[in-house]
Amino acid sequence: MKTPISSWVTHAGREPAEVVVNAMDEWWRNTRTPRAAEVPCHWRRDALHSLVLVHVDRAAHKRRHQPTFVSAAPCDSPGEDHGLTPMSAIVRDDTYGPQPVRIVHANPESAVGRAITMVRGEEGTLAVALATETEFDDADFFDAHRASLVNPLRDGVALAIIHAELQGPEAAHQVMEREDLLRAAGYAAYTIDLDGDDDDHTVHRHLAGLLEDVFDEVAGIKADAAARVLSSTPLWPALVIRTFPLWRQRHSALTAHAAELPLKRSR
Amino acid sequence: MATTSSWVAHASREPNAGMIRALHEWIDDSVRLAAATPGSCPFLADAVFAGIVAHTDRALHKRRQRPTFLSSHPCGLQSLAAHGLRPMCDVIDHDEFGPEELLVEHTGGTSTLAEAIASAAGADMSAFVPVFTESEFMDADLFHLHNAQLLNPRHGGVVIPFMIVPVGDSEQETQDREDIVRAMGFTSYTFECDWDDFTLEDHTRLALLMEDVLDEIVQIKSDAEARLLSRPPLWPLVEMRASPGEGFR
Repeated sequence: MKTPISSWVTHAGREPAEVVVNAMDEWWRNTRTPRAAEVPCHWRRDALHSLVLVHVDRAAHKRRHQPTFVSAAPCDSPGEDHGLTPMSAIVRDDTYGPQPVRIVHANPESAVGRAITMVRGEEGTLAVALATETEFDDADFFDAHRASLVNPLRDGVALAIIHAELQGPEAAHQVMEREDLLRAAGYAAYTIDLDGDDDDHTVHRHLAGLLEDVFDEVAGIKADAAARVLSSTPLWPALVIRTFPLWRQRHSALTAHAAELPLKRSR
Repeated sequence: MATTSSWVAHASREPNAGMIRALHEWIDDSVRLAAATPGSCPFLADAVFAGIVAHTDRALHKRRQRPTFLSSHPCGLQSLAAHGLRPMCDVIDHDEFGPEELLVEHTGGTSTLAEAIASAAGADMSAFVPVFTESEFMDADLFHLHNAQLLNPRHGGVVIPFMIVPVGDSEQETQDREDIVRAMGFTSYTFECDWDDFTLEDHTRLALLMEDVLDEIVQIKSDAEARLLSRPPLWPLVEMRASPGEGFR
């Protein structure tokens, strides 16, 4: 990492400044050196997981929250030590010092189900679940994935991130089906495409902007709940990341799919 | 006391109505409790000082910074007694990094501004908030230590000075003061209100002023980081207009 950024300027604007985007990109690239294959945890080794890790960590850091990242697959990190958060390397002179990254491997539970369990009764907690679309749609776990299980007033925030691994463009009805399913589970989809056409810098800017929208929506739900003006169960934002073969190929193809383990039911 | 969720507290540039109400209550409680307790700290007992503490703490809490307040007034608290928690720990529910103590230094006969500049120019990257009167600022013996050019915009900490100035100065007196403030490397942001009737609207104005002040500091820091500063910057200094007795009690 080149010179870390001053804690005074890291979160100066709503969306990260150029210098912050560059630092995030550098962190992300450094996690995927040739030695990355030896790293025991896919949150460090895999392009998609590490992309989610650095972006959500930035958005949460700005909001004084410490996220816990949840995925189903186990890892071999000794003693559950996953090192420091990306922002610990990107920001210098942070008042609260370097922070250990919090990662939970939920298998045999589903990631989204575990994240929801984690935030119940813990209003300040942020749990971020990265799951494949197959995992999210799994009929055995679907009830545990319902956003209505989260009370906007008393519970924390479970951010569901769904990876849709596509082989090519989707038809409109396929997109609608996904969004309908998410809506039925209590989520509103915020979608980003990693198709390989955009350069990485553009992807970083789009993803950072989208996460600002997601967390603004979370704050809106929380504010409405606190003001007792929620007339119905809210639709919590869920991030849908659609990856395409070109992007996966360019980024070593080690995606959430490769890291995925079969869950309890199919074992 | 009214509290606000950590998800909502800093969600927008300007604090929402819930936060403003909570700040108002914190200041009221602080002054009332201090009045009822023999021996206290001016930062907790005086409405002007408590207002500075509450609003500065909010703006810095939002930016993941922890201020140290400096006063030349003696502290009536027992030497081992702390100043309690920083206001945001009372106002915000479930803060991930809380609870944190309110940091206050009493400098005695030393200039608070000089102390703050010396600390921020050193190795400490934190925020220092000195509160002083105009006559303390103009003190000929210490005046050379009040120069903002002693600060390092890229590698140093930050000073957010609050100068208590009299109400009712003539235009010429105000202009003269502005010239001196500018010559010392500061640019002034002025706040005035009726301290005996500090309304919710006044809180909103002060919160907005603090957002402007912090945005200016962040801009200076950003320019320094990008090596775009062609000359020493003018750092913000907040002038609090108060009648004699207010801010001095």
